[in-house]
Amino acid sequence: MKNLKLKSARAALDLSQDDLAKKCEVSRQTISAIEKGDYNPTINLCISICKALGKTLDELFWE
Amino acid sequence: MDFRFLGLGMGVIVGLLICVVIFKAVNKDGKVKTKYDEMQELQRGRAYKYSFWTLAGAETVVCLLQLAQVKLLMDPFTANLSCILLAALVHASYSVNHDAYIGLNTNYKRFVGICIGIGVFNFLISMLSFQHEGWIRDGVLQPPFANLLCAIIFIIIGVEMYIKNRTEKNEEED
Repeated sequence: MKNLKLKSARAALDLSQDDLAKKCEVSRQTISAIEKGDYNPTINLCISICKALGKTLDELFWE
Repeated sequence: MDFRFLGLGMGVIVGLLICVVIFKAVNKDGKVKTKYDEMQELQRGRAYKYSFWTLAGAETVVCLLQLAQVKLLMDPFTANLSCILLAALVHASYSVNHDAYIGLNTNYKRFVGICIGIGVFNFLISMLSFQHEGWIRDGVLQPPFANLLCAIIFIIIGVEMYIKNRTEKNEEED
């Protein structure tokens, strides 16, 4: 299932997938896969993404 | 002392040193180890799994054919090396198609350049040996044929990487 919350939170900060990937020290393809719902990140990466976007786990990853 | 084994040993050591130099040159931070993120590690793990079963399957086929005394088209060294190269191709293809071949600290252009270089180098060696002694002796393919296989594998990987790169560029990010 697509993670539209993550995509909109990133877009709200005017960050590209590449920018977010650099902040989280992962590849752009990993961010893309998470947004498309092709990959379920570990809790460590979820936290890293949340910190980079200034959001909580609930806001980005809870249904 | 058997000088043939000494020569082989030296060859392996020189080969490893060349690998270290290549990895250092390819990685942006000058380190030998390539860094991958968690998704890439996961995909590479799967790639290793498929590559392992490919190697096991191919070697089993070669062993069974030898047991059945079927005349192989290759000498044993070339047959075993071909199995290893096939497994390496499976690993590389799977990794390329799942965005796990290029590491976080890899310089893409340098990496592609070195791949092309290795492919061309192997192709030239195989052509030279073809001109001098040919690939076939006593009706079986000889080790220099493996150089041609290696060149073909690098070409396949290169084409896959090119297609993947083009697909990603065409794919709209947002």
